[in-house]
Amino acid sequence: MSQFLRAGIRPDRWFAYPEIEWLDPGEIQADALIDLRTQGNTLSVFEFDGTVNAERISIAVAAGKQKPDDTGYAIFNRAAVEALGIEVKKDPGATADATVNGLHCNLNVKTATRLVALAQVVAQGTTALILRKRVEELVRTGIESGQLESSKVNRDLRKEL
Amino acid sequence: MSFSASTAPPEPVRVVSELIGFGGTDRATIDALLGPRQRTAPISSGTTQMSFATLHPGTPLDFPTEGALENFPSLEADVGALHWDEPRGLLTLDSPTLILTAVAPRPMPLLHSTQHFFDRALSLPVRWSLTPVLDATTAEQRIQDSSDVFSSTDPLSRPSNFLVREVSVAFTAAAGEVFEEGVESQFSQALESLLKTHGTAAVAALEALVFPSTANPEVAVESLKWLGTADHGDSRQHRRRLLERLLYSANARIRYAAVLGIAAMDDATSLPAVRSALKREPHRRLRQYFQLVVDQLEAVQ
Repeated sequence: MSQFLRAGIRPDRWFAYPEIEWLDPGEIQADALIDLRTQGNTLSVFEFDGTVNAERISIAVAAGKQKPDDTGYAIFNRAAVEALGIEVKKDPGATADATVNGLHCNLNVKTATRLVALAQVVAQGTTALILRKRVEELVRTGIESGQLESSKVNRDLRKEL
Repeated sequence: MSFSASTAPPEPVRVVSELIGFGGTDRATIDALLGPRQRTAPISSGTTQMSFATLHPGTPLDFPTEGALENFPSLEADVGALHWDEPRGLLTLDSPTLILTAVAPRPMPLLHSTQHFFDRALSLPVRWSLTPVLDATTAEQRIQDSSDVFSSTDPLSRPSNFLVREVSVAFTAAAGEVFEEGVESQFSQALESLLKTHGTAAVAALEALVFPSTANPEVAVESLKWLGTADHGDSRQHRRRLLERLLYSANARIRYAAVLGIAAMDDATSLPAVRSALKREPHRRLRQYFQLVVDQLEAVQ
């Protein structure tokens, strides 16, 4: 099944009932929308078909941040996204991992209404967490192996590592 | 050690404590007490008193007046949550803060919320003991300190009203900030500055703001993640213990942030606390995250 991955999320924003008791079943927290910040009404995601693992995609994104941090990702159904009428546009990514860049897409969400509907789709998928220490390890080994192009890794992050 | 009450009521002093009950509990009673959905029952802020005597609802209870705390005439404890530690057979009443007040000893009626709890605990013949984290000398020093001026070199500093306000201002300002993974927030910079200036007292002030269920979860999560990464050796133990206690917060997002803070500290000392919290955690997704941290800390060990 073809899926999308959204990197750099905070999994706790996606806690739902019963983790968040005051939420009705099927509802999501408003804070979840923070993880779906659009730019030019589009949302940056990656195709996820299993050929490149989710951790590698997440690390590619994390390598562009200022500092090592816990990071999360969400994997959700592509067909459900397209059913919302959201246009999917392939667009080369700008991470430090060339392979991951080839998976990058922009979702042309256009409207706030669609964004909320998209959030529901994301919430029905799965979320995962990578701890900060693991992020540090993976960025470091990624640079050493050449998987991450060192010059494209955030300079502040490189200093911290 | 001596202590005498003054005419002017001194400010409360916060002492980290843990209240542990022994014996006489059974699984069915605890399950009935805590409800079917979770083993951690949040109890709205209340005040209770402890005794070595058997608990009976409605009975005014006295705090123990022996050992390290014998010179403090009255103790009050904010009750945070009740936990049933099945493997150890212990009932634990977490008290995020134990507040010592310099007033004459007096029977204190249980507040409604706590009374309700004890009504439900009718069948629990539990004996309680009080285990303060800080020793008596420490506590005495704290209770005698009525100044609003704190030094970052004094790890025993209590939060002044001024400092609580300072942290509160940072919390309020942070409500308008968007927190992003891997990006240092202005809020964390503000907290860092307060920590460097006020030391452990800043952590205690933060604690006072994070514990209430009304805390903005986005800001609270950011503050707890920061607690784990703060570069401040003097407050390290205090921060670690606060994060460990928050593993039992009634708020799942707070528990999540607490375990991330612990992971960031990467201190195997926290391993028993995270393991224990993992066993009590009612939600699968959080258990997965707790397990990640257990795995990390085991590797450190």
